[in-house]
Amino acid sequence: MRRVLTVVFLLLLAALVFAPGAALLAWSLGTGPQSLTEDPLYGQVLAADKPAVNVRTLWSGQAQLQLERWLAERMGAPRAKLIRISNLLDFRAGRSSNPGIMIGRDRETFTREMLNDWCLSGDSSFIDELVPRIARAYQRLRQEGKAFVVLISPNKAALKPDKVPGYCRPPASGRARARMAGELRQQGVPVMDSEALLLARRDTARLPTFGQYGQHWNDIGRFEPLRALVAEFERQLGRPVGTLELAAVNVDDQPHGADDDTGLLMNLPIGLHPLSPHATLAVRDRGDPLDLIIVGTSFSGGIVEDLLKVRLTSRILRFDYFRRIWAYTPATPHGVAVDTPPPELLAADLGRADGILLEVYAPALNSGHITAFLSAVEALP
Amino acid sequence: MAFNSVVFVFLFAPIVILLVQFVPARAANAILLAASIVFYAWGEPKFVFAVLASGLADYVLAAAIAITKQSTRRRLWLALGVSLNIGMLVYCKYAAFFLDTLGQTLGGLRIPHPEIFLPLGISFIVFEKITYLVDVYRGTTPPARNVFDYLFFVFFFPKMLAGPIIKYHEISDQIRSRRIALDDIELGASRFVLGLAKKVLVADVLAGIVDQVFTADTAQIGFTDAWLAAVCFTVQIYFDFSGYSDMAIGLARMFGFRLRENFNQPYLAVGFTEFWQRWHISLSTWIRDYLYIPLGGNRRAPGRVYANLWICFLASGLWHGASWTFIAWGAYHGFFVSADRLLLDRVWPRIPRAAGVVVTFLLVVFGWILFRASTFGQAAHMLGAMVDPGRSSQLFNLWVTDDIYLCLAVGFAVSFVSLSWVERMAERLPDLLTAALRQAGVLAMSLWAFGQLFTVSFKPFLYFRF
Repeated sequence: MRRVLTVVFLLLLAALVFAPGAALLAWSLGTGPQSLTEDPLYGQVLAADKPAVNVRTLWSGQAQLQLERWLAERMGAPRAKLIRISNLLDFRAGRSSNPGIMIGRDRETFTREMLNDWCLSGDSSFIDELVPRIARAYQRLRQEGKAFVVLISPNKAALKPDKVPGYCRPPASGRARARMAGELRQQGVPVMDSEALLLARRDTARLPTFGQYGQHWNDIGRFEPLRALVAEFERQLGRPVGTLELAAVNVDDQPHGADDDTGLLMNLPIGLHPLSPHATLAVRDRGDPLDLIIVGTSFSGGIVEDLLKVRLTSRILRFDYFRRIWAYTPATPHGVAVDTPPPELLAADLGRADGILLEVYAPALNSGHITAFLSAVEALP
Repeated sequence: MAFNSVVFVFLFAPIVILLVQFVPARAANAILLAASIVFYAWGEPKFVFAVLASGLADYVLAAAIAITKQSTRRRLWLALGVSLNIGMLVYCKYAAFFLDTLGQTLGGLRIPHPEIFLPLGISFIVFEKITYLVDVYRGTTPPARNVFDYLFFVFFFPKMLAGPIIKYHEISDQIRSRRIALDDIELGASRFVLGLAKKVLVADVLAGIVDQVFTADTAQIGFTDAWLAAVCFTVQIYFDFSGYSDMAIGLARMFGFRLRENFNQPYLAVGFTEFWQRWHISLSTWIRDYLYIPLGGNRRAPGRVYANLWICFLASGLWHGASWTFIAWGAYHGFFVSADRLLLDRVWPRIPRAAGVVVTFLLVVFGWILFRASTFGQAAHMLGAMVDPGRSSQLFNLWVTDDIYLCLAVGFAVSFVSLSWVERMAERLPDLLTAALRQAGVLAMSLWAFGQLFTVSFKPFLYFRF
């Protein structure tokens, strides 16, 4: 019996050890079931370059380094399964194999960017130059008769500080977000500070604004800033657009979309089922829809989605990081990619738009999309 | 090729293990030798030729020592062999350090020297080759039957890069004849997985905290940061190095070789003398047999004995790295070993063993700061922070997640729960149950550790560059 146990143990161990090599062999021969050779993991990575194997590269050791990574990436389904199992065990132990993700208290996930912004006294001197430029852009756009709003999307760590790992606290000097919002207001620029709005909310105070395993705001996290945003556009344009209301909130354990994007990136073999609020929005006192240009980060995707659902817009041109452009209309709610270079399209379509939303992310206030947008405004004829 | 690499675990090792199981013994040795040379050449394609040439030189010199009757000439061959080996080590590892130190002594003069790359495992390789020459000279072992046996001893890949440092006569009989039983495969594989788990699941995780603190501005480091980094490094270095030894011993076992144990729960030691009987045993044994005893050991006048001890520990420090902090670490240990001999060996038995363990452990932890720090200034800052509870932390991005506490808990459990006690407890259980539990644990660790090989970036072993 002892011998049987030993043989079974060794067979299982051998299966674990030989499976990746078998998948590699199957891939190299172009044979074998797809279930062995393919099992894509979630998320993007920089694939290893095909190694250049020759006498020179072998002699220098370069070939060996390249081969190690390249061969590993071709070990198919066994590799993927081992990664998932390992990730699950890591997760249970409170760690993430993804260096950009940190597991906080109660297994709340954060990105390093969020924690850096929350914990560190970073250099915010870039705000000295940025705020005046934004103020000038605001003046320029108002001269064109366009509404303009800056929306600062929130840092999850600021909204869930009790879940942050370790013992860090915000710097006594304050964060860049507060400084930027304050200085923009001083310059007369309308600013929606999402963190302040969400920390002050009452109706949905008990509901989370970010998914436990998400790095973007959920329906509840977007509602207050979106309502304030639409109200600000109404004020600047001097005409009714509509008052946003929370018609219903359904809470379940089925996260949608970006609510658990971090969870997906962790590549676990199990589904995660955190508390997930789903909001149904309604519009009161509906007016004319908006034609909007939205320049922002991945956080602006949720804004676009909500505006389209409640039909408060006739058209949205979304400049994603001011690099890629998507056009949304009622007929094309999933968006159509637009190939025109962003500065050109901004200049061409500004006349048609009612207003521009510049969305900036609190932990990344020096993002390149802001300066790229400002340069395009400064270059307007 | 690192043991914790995908290419090693999933391609190289299983192929070699499989081949060796199913061929006759002679062919198995040839396969192992060829595989070992490939293993070393994978990471050191240039230096492999130097090791081969040096090995051939050792073989010839040892043969000359064995057949020469005249003692002067025997001593000459020995001195030549040892000098060639030490020369290779000094050139590759210490030349730059000595020249830089000389330059600083001459008022900051920069003495130019070529860039010398430190070959993997050179300290281990050279020390093993010296044992062969000296043992042949002493008559402890006859010379190798043939050059292949000797090269097998030098290149045998499980122990080549980071030990244990073995002696030729410990392995010569096994080279000639050995059996591989099913138990050897099972226990060897289990030992390998245990070592891999120690390395990738504990040591590499703690390395993140240690690296973060030791690369931070020293002015930011507070009392808790310093202690956290010190304790994490204490576990990291033990798990990293003993994990490697476990992998080496496990691999060798799967080929039918029994290598000496290299660690015996060193943090359970009372006094530094006992610490060195439990930590890196093969190194301390080497230093005793090939440095301390030739210097006269403890058969000299007391003053000379202490001098011998100091020489040995300074050499040990220098062996670990070409830096004054390593030498200081060696001196630190030499001081406490001397203190044991002078006084503490009479004190330790009079206090509860647990107290002795705690005191020794704390002193070892302080010593690790010297070992890990890159400069004396950094070491001084860290040690200063450790004794100043009022020093507050400015390291606001030191995120200590739950897994760090888990790793420390595992580290302390493995370090301080007596293995012999665990074995006695296990003996009370049915043998089948013990085996099943052990195997289930190994399989679980395999799933986790194997997955880590794919998910984490390469982290070199701490001892590879020694």
